[in-house]
Amino acid sequence: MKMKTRLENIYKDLINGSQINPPQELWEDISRELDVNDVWGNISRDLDTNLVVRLENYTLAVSVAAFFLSLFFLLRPANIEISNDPTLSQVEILSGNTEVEAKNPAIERSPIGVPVETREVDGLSDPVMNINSQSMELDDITLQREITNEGSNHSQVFVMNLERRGYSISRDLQLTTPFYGIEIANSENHDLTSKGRVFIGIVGSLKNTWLVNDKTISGFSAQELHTTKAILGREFGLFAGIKISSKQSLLAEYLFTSNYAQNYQEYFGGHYITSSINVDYSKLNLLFALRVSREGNWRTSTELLLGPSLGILKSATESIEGDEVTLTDNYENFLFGLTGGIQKYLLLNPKLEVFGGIRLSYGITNIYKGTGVIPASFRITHPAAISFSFGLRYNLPKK
Amino acid sequence: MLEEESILIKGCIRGDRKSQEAVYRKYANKLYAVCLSYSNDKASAQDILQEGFLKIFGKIKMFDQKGSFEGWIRRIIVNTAIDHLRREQRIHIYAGYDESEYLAENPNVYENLNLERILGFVRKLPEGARIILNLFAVEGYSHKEISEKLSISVGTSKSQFNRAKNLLQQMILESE
Repeated sequence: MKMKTRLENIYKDLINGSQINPPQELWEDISRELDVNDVWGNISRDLDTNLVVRLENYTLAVSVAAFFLSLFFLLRPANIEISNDPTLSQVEILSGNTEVEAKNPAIERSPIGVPVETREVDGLSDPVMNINSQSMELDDITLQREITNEGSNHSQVFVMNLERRGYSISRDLQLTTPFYGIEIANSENHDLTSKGRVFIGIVGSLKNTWLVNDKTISGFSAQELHTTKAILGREFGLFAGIKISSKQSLLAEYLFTSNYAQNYQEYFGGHYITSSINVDYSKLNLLFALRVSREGNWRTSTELLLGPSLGILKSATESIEGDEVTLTDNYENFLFGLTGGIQKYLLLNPKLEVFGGIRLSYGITNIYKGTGVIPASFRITHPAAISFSFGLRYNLPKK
Repeated sequence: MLEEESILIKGCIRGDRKSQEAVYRKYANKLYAVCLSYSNDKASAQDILQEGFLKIFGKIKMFDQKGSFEGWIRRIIVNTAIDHLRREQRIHIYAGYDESEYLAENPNVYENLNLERILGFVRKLPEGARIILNLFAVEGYSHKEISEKLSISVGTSKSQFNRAKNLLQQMILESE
């Protein structure tokens, strides 16, 4: 490398070693410019905040609408309620879209939907003709069913004779359903609850996330000048599980992304600074699921979920007035927590279910590692979230 | 990083005027000398310093707090100075000069040099040569880095640097 000449060294030393006072009014000019910038900054911030609030409201409204829409479909009354007796599962209709045609138009209401005690009295099967006939006697109803299976078209004919409360009604009903096929309906494979059955699926969620610490909590106080708000987070991942009994199953979920975030509005020197912290994890949930109810001829079911979760830190960032700063070094690499919730499942076909539900998750360990200025113990932080979960579950055929 | 400096930076991020003033008071004197070395006159140096500090306070959220804060604000001031001169279209760096050699020095003539005198000579240098002298000799950039920064060839950077030194030495000799 070429050595520096004496002139270069003298010049460098003189520039670096000297201090020259700029005119006093220069700071006043800078301060004035900063004030002008602040005015626009405040207006711009308010506009941004309004936009964010509007977007949050729209997103929340869409999420709530989607949630209630899914509940509407999930909780829709079953077409036929005959019995929950598992021995009669073969006569349950497992699909929606049933068309009912009353051959006697004088009868306005059908007794279908009235839960009655049933017992199976006869069952015939003719695999050559592909016709399956069954006859049942209900409490005061005689029900005959004939199912025809022709390729992909399946139809069922119910003949019902009713005698109730001192008067007699004879009625023929014809029901046509996109039934799955007699061989499936009569097969043990159709029973999704059998022990050892394996399922896989995808899961996602929109969640209301919080970074619970002293700063966040104090933001709720009316006496504090700063405020805190939740941020909408999201999760997406895959899961696999196994039925360990007719009502219980174990599943492992791997979420590629699961973020926790918090928005702050802090008051400094006459104006508010908006900042938000976002901590993103990939996450593994090990969940125990307990089916607590099954409705609508098993078309819908409800499960409670609970289990531990392990998060692996992907990134942590702080956005101050729109400029992003990386804070990954300030947060712990692992998060240990609990996840629980309730999910409702709707059977779309014998193997595929769609589900939606509500989950709570809470990080038990402190995720804040601290900085050179703020030690970890000064800002103990636990991530928490309430999420609307949704997904698809595919039940693999049992061997 | 010093805790005091870290607190000042956090204050500046929040837009706290007292923290901003403290940062200004701490570094303005040093940076004003840098501005004077790039500019033709004091008014222009003050413009650069003002514009530079507005940039510093506007971008301070982007400072990662790992490196030297002083180094970071100095780079902003230098870049502001170059932008300022470029905006005024005062940077004309001619590739035609072929001053590959630096004339032999006469160290005795440097004895009476002080900041005011040398800045007086530096201000008389052509803009391009002055910027290259400052970037190479004071800021420690290599000729390759200078060539990329100013969109010139490495050879032009070297020849302009030698030209600046030769002119400077000539002015110093003539003033003795």
